[in-house]
Amino acid sequence: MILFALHQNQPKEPQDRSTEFAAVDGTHEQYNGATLLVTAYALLWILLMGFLLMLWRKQRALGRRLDGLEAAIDRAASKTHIS
Amino acid sequence: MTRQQYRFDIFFVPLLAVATALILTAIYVVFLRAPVEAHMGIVQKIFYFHVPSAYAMYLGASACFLGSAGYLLKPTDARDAFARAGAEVAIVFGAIVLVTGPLWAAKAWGYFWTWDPRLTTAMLSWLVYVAYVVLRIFAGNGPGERRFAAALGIIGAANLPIIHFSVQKWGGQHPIVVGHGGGGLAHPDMKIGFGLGMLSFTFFSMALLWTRTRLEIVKSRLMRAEQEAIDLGLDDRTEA
Repeated sequence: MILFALHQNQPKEPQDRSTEFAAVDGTHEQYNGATLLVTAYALLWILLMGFLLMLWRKQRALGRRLDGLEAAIDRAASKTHIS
Repeated sequence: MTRQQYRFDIFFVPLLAVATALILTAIYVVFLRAPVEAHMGIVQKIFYFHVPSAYAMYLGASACFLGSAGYLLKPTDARDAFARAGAEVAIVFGAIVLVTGPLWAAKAWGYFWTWDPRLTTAMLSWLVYVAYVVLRIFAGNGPGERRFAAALGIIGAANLPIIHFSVQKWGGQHPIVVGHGGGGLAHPDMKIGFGLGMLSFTFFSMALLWTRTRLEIVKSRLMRAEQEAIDLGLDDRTEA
């Protein structure tokens, strides 16, 4: 049954298939300019703010590592002082 | 606060302040004063930040080249950091170019992308800097990896003049409005908007370059300090 249905859907002649795609005449407004403009500016700021956010996160991670190092040095110094 | 930190603040804050003021002025001029272009309509306003982004990408790529060449001559943390910062700035502004360009093209050409010489070479250049940063993230931070990345930073810069002159040499669809062979901007407010866009992105990219370089230098010094602390037995964080 399925094979029969598939057979029925096959184009019989090559000319039945599409061989080219042509643009429809008179369609100047394919994309809305305002939408494209807003999208472009939104993406611009998302990319720039994303980079700034990445820098801020890196800065915070470095701050935490610096705090850890300072704490380790303080611990070592207090041990030396006690002994 | 150390002397170096003080110098960092002295440069970074004014750079960011000037960039912010210029960007706000540019937005005002571009959207409220510059007239709508006769043939393309409102979508032409993408141009005022698309071209400055391409210019900022060149600045980042040039920084990557200078840092890389400098590192190969004399390896220092600062030169390596400058190269890496340049590559990241080139990626960010290159991504803006590759996103905003097709959005303009959708209206002007009727399709988002074509394998035009300038578009193709710009994408190729952007991919080189993506490769540079991926290499730095995943291949470690040793002297060998840094040298390899520096070589990539120099090779990546070789594509920059090809992007610039591709339109003149091989033609293609990409317009030439400003510069050699271009018709220019007809209205004075268009020129002001474009000039402010260029200036604001120059300052903004410099601020990003500066802060990213500084961050990378601090990271390198911190890694070295951590290693020295562990070697001296001062840092017990690695103990089980």
